[in-house]
Amino acid sequence: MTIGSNAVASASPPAAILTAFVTSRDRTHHLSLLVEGLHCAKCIRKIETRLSQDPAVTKARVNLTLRQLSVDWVGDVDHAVKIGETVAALGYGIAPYEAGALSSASKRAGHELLRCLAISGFASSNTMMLAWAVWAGQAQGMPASTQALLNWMSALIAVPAVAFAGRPFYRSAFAALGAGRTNIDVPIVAALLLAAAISVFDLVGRGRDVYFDSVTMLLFVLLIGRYLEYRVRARARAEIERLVTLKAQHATIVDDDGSATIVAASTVAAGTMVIVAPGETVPVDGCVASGTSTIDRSAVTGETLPVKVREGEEVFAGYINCGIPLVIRTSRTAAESHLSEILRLVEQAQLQKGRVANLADSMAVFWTPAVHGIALATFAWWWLGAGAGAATALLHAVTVLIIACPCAIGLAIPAVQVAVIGGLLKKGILVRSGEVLERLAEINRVAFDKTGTLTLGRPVIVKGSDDEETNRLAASLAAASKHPFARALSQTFGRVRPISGIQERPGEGLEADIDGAEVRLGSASFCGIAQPRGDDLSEVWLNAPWLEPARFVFADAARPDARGTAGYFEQRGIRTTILSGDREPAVALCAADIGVGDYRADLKPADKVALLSEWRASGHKTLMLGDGLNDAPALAEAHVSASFAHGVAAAQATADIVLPAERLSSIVLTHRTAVRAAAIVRQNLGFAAAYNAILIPVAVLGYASPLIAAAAMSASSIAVTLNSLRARPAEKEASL
Amino acid sequence: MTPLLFLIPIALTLGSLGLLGFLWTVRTGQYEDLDGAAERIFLDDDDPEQSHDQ
Repeated sequence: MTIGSNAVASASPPAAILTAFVTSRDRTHHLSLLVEGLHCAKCIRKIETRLSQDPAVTKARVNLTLRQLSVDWVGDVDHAVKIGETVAALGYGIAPYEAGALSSASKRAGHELLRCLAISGFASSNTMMLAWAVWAGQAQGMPASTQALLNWMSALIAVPAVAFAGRPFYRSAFAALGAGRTNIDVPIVAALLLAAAISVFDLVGRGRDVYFDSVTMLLFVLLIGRYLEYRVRARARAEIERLVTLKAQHATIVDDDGSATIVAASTVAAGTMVIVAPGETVPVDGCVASGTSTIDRSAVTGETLPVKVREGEEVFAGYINCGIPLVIRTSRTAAESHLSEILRLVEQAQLQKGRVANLADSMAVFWTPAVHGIALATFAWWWLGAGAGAATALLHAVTVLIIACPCAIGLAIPAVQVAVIGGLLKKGILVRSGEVLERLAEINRVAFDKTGTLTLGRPVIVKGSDDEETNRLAASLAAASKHPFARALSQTFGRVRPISGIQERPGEGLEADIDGAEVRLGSASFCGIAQPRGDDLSEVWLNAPWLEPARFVFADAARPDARGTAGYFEQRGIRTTILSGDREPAVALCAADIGVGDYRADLKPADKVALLSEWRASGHKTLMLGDGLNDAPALAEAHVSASFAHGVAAAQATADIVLPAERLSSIVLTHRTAVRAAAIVRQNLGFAAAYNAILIPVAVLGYASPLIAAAAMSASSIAVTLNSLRARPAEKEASL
Repeated sequence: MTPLLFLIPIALTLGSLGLLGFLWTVRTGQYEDLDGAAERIFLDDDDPEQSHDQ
């Protein structure tokens, strides 16, 4: 069997895999790539110019927002490989990208929102123009027929606009009603249709009390809020999709005749033989067909100690092969794998959580009927009670309507959320949507995963030998192995002396013949050490004839910022707990190291979920942080969840927040910002309430004219928006 | 009254031209890459674009 010598997984998947992602139409082929390392105009020019020098390429376009490259060419499908290599040679990491059905649907939804927004904007500005004319006319004695004409024109603009631009709301409301429940959009739709219907009937009858401008304005403002929310969600989803796609696995399959091909892991069928080189991640669930090696299971189960596997034993996708090349017979396709099981658990939990009612929508919906009620009451009181003419009464009612426009309320919350999420994104922190911020601000409990979250996820030497030569000898032997302990040795003691003929015995250690003497590095029994210390620490012994046997102790060291992060939450009165799949002694050590009193060990993914739902039932709102596959279901179950860019793809796809790789302390910044944002939202709503509480009576009592009302309303919207800008995390803000 | 009869339709027509223009920009995907559009103004392409015939 000849396998390529470059067996270690590199950052970009091999270019050969790209042909599988090419779409073709006649002789034109298309490929979309995710590109890493794009910053600016120069990058755009470099890539586009180099690719257009290729005579076969007809179009090469960089999208800087999504960091993607779209290439069209004529000729061979295999030309994709050359294109991929060209871009990689310029110094950019690439990965094949396939727009999923979900992201295309999301893009269409965004375009629809934008169209509805444009139409409702056009409608509301023109009906307002006509409405002003009518109000001015009423004050200046415009004949009733002219007013009627203007009102009819408003109707002609407003009614089709409301029918068309309100579709996103109608669809959602009728879907909910059809399923026998109500959601937030039902009252909105009721308000819109009712106001429009009343206006039309009134127009046909008397031609006076029309509220088309209020209806279109309400629709416009709600659509602005919806579109802002959509942008935030779409951006977050694109980022997460990107993280997941960049980590997509490729597998090296071996045919019966011994030739190896590299394909996408998702396409591997059951029964196929796959070879996993040392350092590579196992791409599919399977059974070891040949080879004996050690594997690192930390990404999947959280256990830090690698275990030995031999022929006939089962391995799961996500394990990392540390020893020698393994050949695996695939037992389940990607769709049915252990990973998919976990993702199914995740989906279930998410469905149960449902969609939490958005605070902004609730307020806007309560508002419209209240406002119309007050306006009607105003009209009635002035006309019937105070005995003023119908015209004056109407004017006052209209002033009330203008002043009470829910613009400030409609903007109060989305504006803050957009400002905050944009600011956090600049710092590398990805928040999925605005309501995540609301949920983060109200947590009273935090659950940390241990391996990879609180700890570095890889063993570090805690105690070595005092003798320099011993350390160097150990590192020289260790250089030959990909085992996590060996890597730790190489990294700590550097400068190696090359030794040839090192043999690795999986599960035991390494041995070599140096100047005729046998040197061993490995477990106590392998090195012939008689008395095991029995203190349950991870250790490796070095036994060379001319040296004292030396012991190296390893631990999965806690991250430098772990203690500070846990301390920050404790200070705020938020209870912290460690939930881990690792063995009890290791978890206890970590808890003591970090200063967290409460910890649970030996947990399976389902155990974590059970604990979290127990806490939820007793009223706790928990933030869960985790990076491994075993954390994914718990992440879905928690009130709000966070994962890391260095984590497993499934964890990132499930979490509400994705933190920059290896930066645990960024959750502190995120929480602080979320709490501050919640305060600013309260300020905005309070301001809007106060503004209305003061000015509505003014309008009811007749002290304001429509002009003043419009100015006041605009001023309040601007004030709310400016206040929202304060919610952004400061440029220089440090994490702890 | 007469001025209204032609001023209002003119105003509405101009408004709808703007609306149609906006809808066209959405359709031709001009909002797909706002960051890229911002950066591209710095590119000096003095040479005429090479286009490949299909």
